Amino acid sequence: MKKMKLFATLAVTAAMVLSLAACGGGSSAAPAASDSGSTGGGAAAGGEKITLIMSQRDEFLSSLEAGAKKAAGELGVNLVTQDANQDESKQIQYVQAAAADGQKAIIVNPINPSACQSIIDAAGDMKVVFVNRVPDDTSILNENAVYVGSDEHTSGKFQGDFLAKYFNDKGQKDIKYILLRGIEGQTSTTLRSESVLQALADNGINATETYAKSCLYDRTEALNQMGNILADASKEFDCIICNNDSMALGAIEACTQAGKTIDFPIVGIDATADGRQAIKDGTLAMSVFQDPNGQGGGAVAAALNLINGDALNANTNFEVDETGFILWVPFEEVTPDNVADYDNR
Amino acid sequence: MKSKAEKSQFSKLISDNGIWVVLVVLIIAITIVNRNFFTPNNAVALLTGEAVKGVMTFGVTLAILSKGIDLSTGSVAALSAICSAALCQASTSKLWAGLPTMPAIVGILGGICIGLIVGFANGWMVAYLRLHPFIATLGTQLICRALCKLITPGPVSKLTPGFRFLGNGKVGPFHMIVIVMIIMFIILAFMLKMTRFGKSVYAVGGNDQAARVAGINVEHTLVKVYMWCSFCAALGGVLLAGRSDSADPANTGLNYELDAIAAATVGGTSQTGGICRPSGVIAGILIMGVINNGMVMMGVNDQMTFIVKGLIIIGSVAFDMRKNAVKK
Repeated sequence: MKKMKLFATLAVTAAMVLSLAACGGGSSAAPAASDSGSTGGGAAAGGEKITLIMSQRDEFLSSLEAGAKKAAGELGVNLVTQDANQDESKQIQYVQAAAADGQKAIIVNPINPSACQSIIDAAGDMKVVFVNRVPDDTSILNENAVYVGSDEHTSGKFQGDFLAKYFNDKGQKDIKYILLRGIEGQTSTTLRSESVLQALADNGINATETYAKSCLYDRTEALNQMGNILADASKEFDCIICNNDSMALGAIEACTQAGKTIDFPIVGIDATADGRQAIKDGTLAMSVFQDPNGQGGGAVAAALNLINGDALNANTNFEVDETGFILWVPFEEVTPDNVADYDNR
Repeated sequence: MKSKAEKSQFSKLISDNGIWVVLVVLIIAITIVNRNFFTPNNAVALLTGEAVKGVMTFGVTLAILSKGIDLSTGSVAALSAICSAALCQASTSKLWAGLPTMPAIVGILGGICIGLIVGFANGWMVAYLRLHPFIATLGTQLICRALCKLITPGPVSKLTPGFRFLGNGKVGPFHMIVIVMIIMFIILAFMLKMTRFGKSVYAVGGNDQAARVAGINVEHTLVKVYMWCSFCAALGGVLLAGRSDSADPANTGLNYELDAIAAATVGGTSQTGGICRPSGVIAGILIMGVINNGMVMMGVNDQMTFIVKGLIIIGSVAFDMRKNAVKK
């Protein structure tokens, strides 16, 4: 038994040492908070070191991270990324670690858009670039703290305008809809849902909710919940509005499995690879493209521009808003007509 | 006198099967609100929707019975789903580009093998390192989820029809995914009631020292328990991927371990170990399904689902504890 214990202790110790050694290469640069560190590819060792703090790594944000790393390689920036895993205190901790490391700028994908001031406070003398999620209070932005990303108020607007045109062309003013919502409490869920309904109303469509359900941005959850909804014949609807493509694909799958012909529009957001395929197949009516490479690359360029004192949009194709502290990366509508253009973006 | 004996027998039957009474009451109540609830169509929606969690519940039931817990099942399901799906991708844009599309059986067995490996690790840590199962499986939960995200940033989709058959296919009017759940239930019930291994799990969960004295190899039993648990989780992952034609590193199986633990607990599996009735477990799964589906049918606010679930979990455990305390 004693031998067994000794062996077990040794085995565990060895595993710990090995796993630390495996991480060692990338994370030795980030002090105090090095558990999930990784450095941008191809950067010269002497380049400006900038930390990108992710709120989490879902599909879209992973593409954003890849876009940022690619741009960092091109601009000669030594980009280190950290994943705060939806934990606000961890996010602040990473900001402080970067400040202690003497970095000049930091890129943050904020977990909570209403608590961005605390990130600016923690950053001290560092320049701050918020990416992907716009701070609730944009008045906190200034020459040392900027935002790069898209305006979530417009993503749902594209869906609403599309649906309004569809139903206006049919001469139908009163519609019933099913809304599959993302994770409750997240800004994207709230804004996407609000803006699609607002756009319908603005275009003179009287939309009534048959049922709204949170499906956590998840395909399987949407498949299950939509299956439950379809089993109830009393729930009538003219369209299915989804806060993202994954849920739209789940809804499509549920219709297929329930033997329901998709002769009504299903709309999504993100224009993921699977979503674009569904648009080509004619099952998904439209989606809205959010540009991950544009946001990630734009954020790195903006950080470098802040450090060097250049114009915010130098080295990018994007426009700065009238305050000068926001770099807009626009949403784009994706329909069967232009879906092929997005295959390599 | 006779009628009194009959009455007490009846009340024993009710108290032993209280969970089934709750289920029937729920079904009647929801049907009164919305008659579309009690239809064959909805039964299919409910059963196909709950089958994956059902299979995973059959796994974690054994862990709880052995006075343990398994928090890794959701992540194991995701890892199994991603690896098996990647082996059986039909589309041109594959995750593993160089790899030819494998026959369905390779993907399914591949996913299940991953489950068995993780299960062995869990069991070994619990049995031989004497780690608390909560901690050991929390560790593997984090590791498996991270592996998923390392393997692929986005969903693995467009899978072969052969691979999807288990999750999405039909045999006559019956859905394969429901058939798989029923088969897994029969295996669980047979294992618990008829085999030496099943009796050993009851004994280990009830009192491991007494089990050891009685000549049961506690360590081997525990390793097998956690391997079964992860096997069920991995099979659940294969079903999930097949059902939704996609496996997502961030979302697939997320928090399923908690739903599985809740269903097993509502079904009367005691956290103090050694107490479990297979028929109760199936009722627990159905209750969770009826709540999920019924709340949609009644059109009530989304968050009510969680409130009702929470109340039922608390209530059923309180009821069981009283019942078991009286027995002792």
